[in-house]
Amino acid sequence: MNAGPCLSFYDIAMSNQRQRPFRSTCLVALAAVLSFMLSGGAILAYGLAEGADNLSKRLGADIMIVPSGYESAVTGILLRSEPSAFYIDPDWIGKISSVDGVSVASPQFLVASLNAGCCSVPVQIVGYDPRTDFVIGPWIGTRAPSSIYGTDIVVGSAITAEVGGKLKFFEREYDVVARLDRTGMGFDATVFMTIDAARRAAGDFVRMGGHSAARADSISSIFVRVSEGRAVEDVMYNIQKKYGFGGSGIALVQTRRFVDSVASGISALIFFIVALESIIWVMAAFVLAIAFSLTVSERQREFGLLRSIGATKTKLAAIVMAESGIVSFYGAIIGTFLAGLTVLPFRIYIASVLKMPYAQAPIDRLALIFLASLLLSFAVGPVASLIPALQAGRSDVCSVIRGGEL
Amino acid sequence: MFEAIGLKKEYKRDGAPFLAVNDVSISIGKGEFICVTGRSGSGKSTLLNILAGMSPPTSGEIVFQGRKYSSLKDRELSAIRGAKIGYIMQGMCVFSNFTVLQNVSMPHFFNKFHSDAEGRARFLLDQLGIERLARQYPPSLSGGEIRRVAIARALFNSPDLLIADEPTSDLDDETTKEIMRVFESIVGQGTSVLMVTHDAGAASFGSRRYVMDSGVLASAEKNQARGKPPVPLI
Ligand SMILES: Nc1ncnc2c1ncn2[C@@H]1O[C@H](COP(=O)(O)OP(=O)(O)O)[C@@H](O)[C@H]1O
Ligand SMILES: [Mg+2]
Repeated sequence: MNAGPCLSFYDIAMSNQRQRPFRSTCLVALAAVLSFMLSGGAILAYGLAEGADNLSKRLGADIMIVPSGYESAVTGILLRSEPSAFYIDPDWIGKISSVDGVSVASPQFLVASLNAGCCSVPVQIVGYDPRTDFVIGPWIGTRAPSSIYGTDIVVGSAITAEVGGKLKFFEREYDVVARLDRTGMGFDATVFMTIDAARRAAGDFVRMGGHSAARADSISSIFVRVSEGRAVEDVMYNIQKKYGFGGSGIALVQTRRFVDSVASGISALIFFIVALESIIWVMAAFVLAIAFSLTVSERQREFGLLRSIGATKTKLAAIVMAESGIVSFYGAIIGTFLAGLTVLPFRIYIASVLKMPYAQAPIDRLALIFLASLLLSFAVGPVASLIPALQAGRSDVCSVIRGGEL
Repeated sequence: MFEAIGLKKEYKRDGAPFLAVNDVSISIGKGEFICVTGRSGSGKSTLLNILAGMSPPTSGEIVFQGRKYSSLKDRELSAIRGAKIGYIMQGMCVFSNFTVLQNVSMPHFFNKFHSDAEGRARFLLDQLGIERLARQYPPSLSGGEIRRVAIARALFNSPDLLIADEPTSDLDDETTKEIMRVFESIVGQGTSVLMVTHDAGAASFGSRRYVMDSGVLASAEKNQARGKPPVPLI
């Protein structure tokens, strides 16, 4: 505080905080926790929403064919970085391609690598067929997908490797030739190579003592795009009619339905996060309101004094609101700062713990999220002190003089 | 200059209404020194609060320099409190977490009448003999010094009426006399003073005296002309 006589509004509002350091510290801490939770939850919700959005917008396939029983494992690969590997007979590529209404059928071969040296998260290795692929290609910026061969790999955006650098899997070196754009999906923690390279990697894995159910020519899944103008349901029906509904060993996953169910699960989760955050906000508002209402009634005398030297009721209310605004302001700054300190360096780790590599909002988005939660948690103070502020202005100063029981 | 007519203030005690101030009328002219005595609980502070415009009366009217309190908005009434009336409230009435200088210049925060707030505050502190305490905080001051701080603050905006509620309670006789001399010199400069006290020594001051009893204000016998004319101080 300046020692001179020209007091600022801040000085007057601040003097009360100084007088009650313990209480003020607790309230600031409360506001800090609030803004920490707001930022954290917002980042999480943002990542989830983005994931759901991308998934429905950009998963190019209409139908996915996987071994029956592995329908949910696809979710793990596409949405989270939960590597898995499963296999079907390669004949299925020809069989599916010949079905009426199928435009493209592109196979993939999965190798689950547990902990590769490059990466903090378990990496999924996906072998794909650059000639027929229509799923991965659109995510590789400028480079022509067909130019990928041999030990070339394309890495997801969450994998720490430079284009032009090398990565080692099962003691074999690979050349990073391209990097995917952020997909906001499990692809971000995936390494792509040709199907042949992936099969050889599976062989390396077995040679190193790993277990793999893959045969030399296995494939894991087939992504199908239906011909222009054909209904996905009809094509699925055609496939099932041709190869039998059960017992064929494969399962058909309709991408849109799958995406919808995932998206609705995610929006339920987001709703839950938002609801939880709103409840926390309201609770913080209540606690601050109670705290300020208590000090207001214990400070009747001080308010009476201020009235006696010319303070209007509005000014008193403004002082009380400024006091709580100061509390929530410092709390919001501290909480958001701590959230930044926690989230920024550890976001890859957090994402891996959550098994959601894509739940890493880009920095500019993070800045926006931090700003929004800063404002929201700052607002809690003035909002909470609305009623105490009115109390301060309304008090009948007569009782003030007697010590103020109101 | 200042006229109160038929003031009543009703409070509830154990659910039953009673009049803490019962039909009080008083008029105060320029440069008058009025002294009100009365037992504790007789309604003196309640009356002063009403006169200072801090608390509205249940009924009755106050006219100050031609303006009716009842017709004024909070903002206007607050401006009167800030500018025309200096009110020294009963009991501890300084802000303990502000320095003496800040306490005295606090009215400046609400009404900017002086371009040089610090100069004005230092002038008043000097007049009251506590300039050297300017940067101290009230908890380190004596009771008499705290009262002077409160008086200096009440005088900050050169009020026309100074209202003081037991300004000398818990002060020793010597300090009481000093404070009374300050009041007399204020009166000598044309400021009206309305003081409540139950200090017999202080009660002998004042050009007009009243006694308050159970909310009723009655005139005490007329004061004899005082020997010494007041010495101008401020
Ligand atoms: N806000 C209030 N509510 C109820 N009773 C009050 C209130 N303020 C004062 N009183 C009562 O009014 C009477 C006068 O009080 P007060 O003006 O403080 O007396 P004094 O200043 O003469 O000692 C007392 O009986 C007191 O209990
Ligand atoms: Mg009293």
